[in-house]
Amino acid sequence: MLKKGSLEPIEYRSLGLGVLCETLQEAATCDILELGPVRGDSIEFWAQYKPSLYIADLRSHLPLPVIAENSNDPEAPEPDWDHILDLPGDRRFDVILAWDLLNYLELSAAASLVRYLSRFCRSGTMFFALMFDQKEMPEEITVYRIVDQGRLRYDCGSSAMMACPRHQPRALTAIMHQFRTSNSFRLQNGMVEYLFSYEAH
Amino acid sequence: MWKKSESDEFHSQAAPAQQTQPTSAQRNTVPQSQNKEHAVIGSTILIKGDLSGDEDLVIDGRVEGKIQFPRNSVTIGKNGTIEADIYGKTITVEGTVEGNLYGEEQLIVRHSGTVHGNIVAPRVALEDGSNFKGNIDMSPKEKLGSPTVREELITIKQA
Repeated sequence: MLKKGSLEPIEYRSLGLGVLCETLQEAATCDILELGPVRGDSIEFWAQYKPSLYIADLRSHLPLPVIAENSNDPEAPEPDWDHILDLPGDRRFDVILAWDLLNYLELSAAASLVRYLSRFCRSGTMFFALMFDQKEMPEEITVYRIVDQGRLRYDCGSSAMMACPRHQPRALTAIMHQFRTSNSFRLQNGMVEYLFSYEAH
Repeated sequence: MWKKSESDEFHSQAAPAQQTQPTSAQRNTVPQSQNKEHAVIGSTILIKGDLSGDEDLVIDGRVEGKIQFPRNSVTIGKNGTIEADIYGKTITVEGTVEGNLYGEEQLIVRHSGTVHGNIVAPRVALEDGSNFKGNIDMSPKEKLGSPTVREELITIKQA
């Protein structure tokens, strides 16, 4: 289980990361969008793929303003993603690393984010997300470090916990716009890892 | 304007806005790892203009202009502030940079460092606590040092 209130770095086996890396080994390019805080050891890991890594840490923009529940309403005000993420318009990513970010967004905001990001995807773009499936989750967004191809280590900046929204798989699939669920892994530590794959229409 | 650590051979071009001799206190801010021959721009110095040269460089002042030392290490000290692109063999940032960084071999952003811009280098290290926003390209498709600078350096050597 996710250690409640622990400040100690915790290492665990990440099946999703393993699949992601296998996919990248066969890919011609390696354009990565990192939506979380990036750490030196993770950059060292990605170096073997000679990547282009765009860092757009969303932590400083949380919490995002709550938007209308009906995420399909074109009139609903949405976060200014252009300003928040500042992504180059011509960029197309092979991998989007969301880590546990979606746990900290309202579903409607998450849907809005995914819709926006789909502009920067190409067919086969992988979206990596970690979902908590417990009553509580860390109050602060967690920093994940890549240890190797199959292991992650996370640091909790604070021991404080908060209620976990426990977004259900069906709800998650619904907000993922043009992505389909490629893999999902329920881990012993109480997290579920998702790999979504973008399908261009 | 410039403090030379060991040698007088300095071929950099600069258009200084202020000319101030570095003090001993400023010298103490220079990273201790810089043991070999290098030039130092002290913390009270402001340079508006491009810099280029063929020796290691430590900047603890403010530079508003392109910095081109493609065959040498460039260190931005804790007090250093750069508003321009930097080309170096290895680049270490302990201060603040607003611009793109092109490292031929390696680029390091220390925990005190802040970079707003893009990084191009085959090896990149971001220390915990460092502040970075932008793109990291670890697959440089072409040599990073601009031809102009290389030709300039060759000309200087021949002279």
